[in-house]
Amino acid sequence: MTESKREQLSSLMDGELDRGAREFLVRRLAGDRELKSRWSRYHTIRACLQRESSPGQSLSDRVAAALVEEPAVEVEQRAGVGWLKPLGGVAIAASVAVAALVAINTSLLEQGHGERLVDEPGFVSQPTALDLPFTQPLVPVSYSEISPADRQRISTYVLRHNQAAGGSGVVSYVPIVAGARMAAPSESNAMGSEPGER
Amino acid sequence: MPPTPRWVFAVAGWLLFALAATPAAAAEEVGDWLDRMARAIDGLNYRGTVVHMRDGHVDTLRIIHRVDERGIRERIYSIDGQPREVLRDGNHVRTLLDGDQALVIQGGIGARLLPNRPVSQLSSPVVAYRMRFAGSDRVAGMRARVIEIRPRDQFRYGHRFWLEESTGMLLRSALLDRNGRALQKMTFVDIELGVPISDRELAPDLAVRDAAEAHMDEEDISPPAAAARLRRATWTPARLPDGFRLASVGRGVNPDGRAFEHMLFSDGLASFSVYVEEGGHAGASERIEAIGPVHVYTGTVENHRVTVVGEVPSETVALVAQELERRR
Repeated sequence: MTESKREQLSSLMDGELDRGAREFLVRRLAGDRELKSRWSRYHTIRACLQRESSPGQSLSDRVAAALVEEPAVEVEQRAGVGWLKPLGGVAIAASVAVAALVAINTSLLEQGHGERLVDEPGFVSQPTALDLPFTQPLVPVSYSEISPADRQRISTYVLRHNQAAGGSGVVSYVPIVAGARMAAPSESNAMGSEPGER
Repeated sequence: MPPTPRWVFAVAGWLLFALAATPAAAAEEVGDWLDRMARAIDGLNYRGTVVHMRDGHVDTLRIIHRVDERGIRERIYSIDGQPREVLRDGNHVRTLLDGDQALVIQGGIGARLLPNRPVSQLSSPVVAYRMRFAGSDRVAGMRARVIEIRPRDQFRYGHRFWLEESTGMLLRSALLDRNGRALQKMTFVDIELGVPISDRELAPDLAVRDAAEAHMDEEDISPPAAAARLRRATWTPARLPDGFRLASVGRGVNPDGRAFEHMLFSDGLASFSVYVEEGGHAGASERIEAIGPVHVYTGTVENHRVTVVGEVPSETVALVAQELERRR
């Protein structure tokens, strides 16, 4: 199954496909067994997450069964993938974004060492006039609209942040780098003031 | 009006005391559970399947975790979508990606700037969050205690954790927005706790060939040196949302070849990083990117490009950037 088909299925589940694409995919679903079984697996997984339990079989049994059907990961071996030249130091792929940050932040703050920090930043307790520009909702821009150089910079910073913060175990250390699914495109001009001008 | 009997005051006093004491005691007990959770996540052997959901996008991962006298070994791999695999051996972490965008990322977890401390030793989550037990539930066939953590302001997300009754192991978690809606969820759908794990299970499946390699190496600094560094940060936000503190300071060079200062702030649960690049920078436009619940602010402060990254609401990254100034 191709990546694009999976993507389409996922979009169909999310109701993100337009009518034409939806009808096309539903017709395919009727005829394609593999696609159909994946479709039902997706639903099982989602049902499990949303705890739409059904009587009879337990949820974990159902999901485990769905997962067993999952075909083994195919490892393609391709020659000469020159899509990224490693740069010195940190080089993260431009087109790769850190998406599935499956982190539970049991991030742990260092305290003490016997002394307080001299210049500890002050704490905001009540909203003040300064906070007002931010009470308006900020509209995040689409990650896919920014330049490759910016994406690379951001990927590096996000990975580094995760590495620094996501300390302990499980899923915590999982900057699983994946094909990005980003916010919907829209320019952000909602920012209040220039931080530099004060 | 007749004078109020003394016992009324006594009862009122007791009531007040009880009201005041109960939430504090509850918070402390929740803290103990979070502490147990952190220890269980690191210190138990387990293998299981985790489903992660965000923006309607579902990822299914296998997690194999072993701890012995030589330290922690962990293998996490995706079983849908692009093949991905994360291998951790002690302090060393390798991330493998296959498919159209093959990539190997090598990195040291020694770069972890926060020390591994039980959450309960932190006072700050109590400052910034309301924590309570929210009943019990069943996850992956196990009895779980539910803990709900709600932020006291709009500058961070809430959490709900499902912890296994006898070990405190995390079985399910949800990241919540201000209205209590789940932004992302992860759940074990099956898990075996306290099982022996063989070396073979921890070996990678992916043989990524001809892939680009990236390194995220970082100097390993001792805690005292790290503490000294905190005081040498060149930049600081004039104000921060309640409870966030500077946790560590580091330096690095980004892909553009620009040196930057990296400051990590944490409130004990949420964290964000501030990166200030050295050298003048033409005024870049100011903007915020969203990667799921992670927000990234980019802008310019005193002619330096600033990037703020964290799994926090967009208000937080914007506020911090706005408050950033050179330390005097």
